[in-house]
Amino acid sequence: MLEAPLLDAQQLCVAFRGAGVGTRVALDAVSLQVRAGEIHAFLGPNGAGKTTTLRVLLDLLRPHSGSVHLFGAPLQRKSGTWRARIGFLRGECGAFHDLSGTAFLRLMAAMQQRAPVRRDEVLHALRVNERTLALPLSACSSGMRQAVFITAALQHDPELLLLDEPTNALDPLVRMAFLELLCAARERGCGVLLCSHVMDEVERVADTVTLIHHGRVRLCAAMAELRLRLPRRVRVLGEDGREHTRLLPCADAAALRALAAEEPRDVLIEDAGLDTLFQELDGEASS
Amino acid sequence: MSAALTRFALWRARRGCALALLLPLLVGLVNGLAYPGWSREREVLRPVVQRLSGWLRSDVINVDIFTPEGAFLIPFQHPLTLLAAALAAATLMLQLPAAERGRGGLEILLSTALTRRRLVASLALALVPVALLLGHAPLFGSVLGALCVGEAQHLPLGTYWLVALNYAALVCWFGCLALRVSVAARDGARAMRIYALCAGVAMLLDFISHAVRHLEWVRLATPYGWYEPSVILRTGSAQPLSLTVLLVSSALLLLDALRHQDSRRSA
Repeated sequence: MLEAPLLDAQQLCVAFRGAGVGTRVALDAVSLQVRAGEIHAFLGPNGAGKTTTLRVLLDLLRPHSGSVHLFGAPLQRKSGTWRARIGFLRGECGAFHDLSGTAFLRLMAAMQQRAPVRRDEVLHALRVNERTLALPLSACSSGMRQAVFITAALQHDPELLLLDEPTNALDPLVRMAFLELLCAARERGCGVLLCSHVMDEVERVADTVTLIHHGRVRLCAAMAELRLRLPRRVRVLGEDGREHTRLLPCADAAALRALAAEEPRDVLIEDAGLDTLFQELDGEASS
Repeated sequence: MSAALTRFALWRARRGCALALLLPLLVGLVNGLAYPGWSREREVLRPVVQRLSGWLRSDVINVDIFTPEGAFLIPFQHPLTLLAAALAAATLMLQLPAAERGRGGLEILLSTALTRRRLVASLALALVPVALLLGHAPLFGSVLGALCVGEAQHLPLGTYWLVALNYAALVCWFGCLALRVSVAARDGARAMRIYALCAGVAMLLDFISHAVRHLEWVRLATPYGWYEPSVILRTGSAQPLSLTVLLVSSALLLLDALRHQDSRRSA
């Protein structure tokens, strides 16, 4: 029998009423589950509703309808104890720029009400040294700041991580180290909800993918299953010596026969990647 | 309540609060430096002041400002001191939650074990040291001024301390008003506008109640009406009713802020 999910959101609906623009539906029956030991990628174009969903999951925004269960129980609004089991990372935030990295991490540990047992490990992995931590956050580079914010989200060894574009501003080495930290957290049984626009990192670490567009879930599938469904990018070197790139549907025998009939000089076939999902959404939107 | 958040709020508001603290001190210092000339000119000035106090039903002139205890009460009554109370409260309470709404800071804080109620309670806790410190700033200003002219021994420090207590309660009231506005407003700019309007209207009503003889009662509708330095100096009593009104109405504003923050749809 499957374990109860760490996070179970069902049929979330949120609408915003703005001056002069009428009512805008931000989330339309969004459902989402994150299980222990799973990295769940939550993808979508800008303005799709990812951050709004995260805000609802943290009780920072109350939905008009729908339910959220965290750790097997309905979201408790009066008590904050469940939040101590969550690590949340949001994008850039200037509120703490006056503080040094050390003071910020200490403040967050005090608020999280859990010992920062993983602080040193995360700081070491993300290459943040004592000297950087002593500086005010405003004096740090944006990459260093992001590393400190990541540390704040991971330092108390949370059971569920909600990460909104975590690798923004990170250099490639630190990004790889961060992804390794995520994988290690998954090994420990931590559930991760990862919002990102960087498709190659999602393909690398995600177990499940949910795609949201205009506040609606368009796709929810296991990454392994999705890989089989994604189209293939085919680079064909023709007789004339020119290279053409095209997308072929997965497991489409007729398309492969047509390709063979062209008698190409050489072909290179690779996964088209999750980017194509976005292209499909864009195509739907324009049609 | 979260002591860490209280410290953070105080840290963020340190510059504004320091400025508010300096205002009464400066008023006291300038008052002290101006004082020696008064002894020579008091005979000329006394009829003018008496006429002025006949026109204005003013507490400022209800004390004899030609005596050391009356003259050095000015740091408690100066408009800059009254402004300092509103300024310190705004600096402390409008930065969080209002100014951080939609900018990320509030979301990061509320994604931890901190509840909405604890957020408000922790901010209210930050108000206590600010009110106590700022409450004593005019007292320090008065002493500083008196020391400049060697009149410190004539100051009724016990009575002045009662006035300082009354002033601290006034700061508390403005702090709770700012917190209530901060909790309800959509963002920092809107909170600042609403708060400035409330403080401005209170000051205006207080001025009207002093200037128009038949509208004296209007001042009781403002917090300034319950801040009575000259009455405390004259009677030597702490004016418990004034203190009670300021503190109880502060508590009501705080309770309303707690209730409102908890019932908000968004953080």
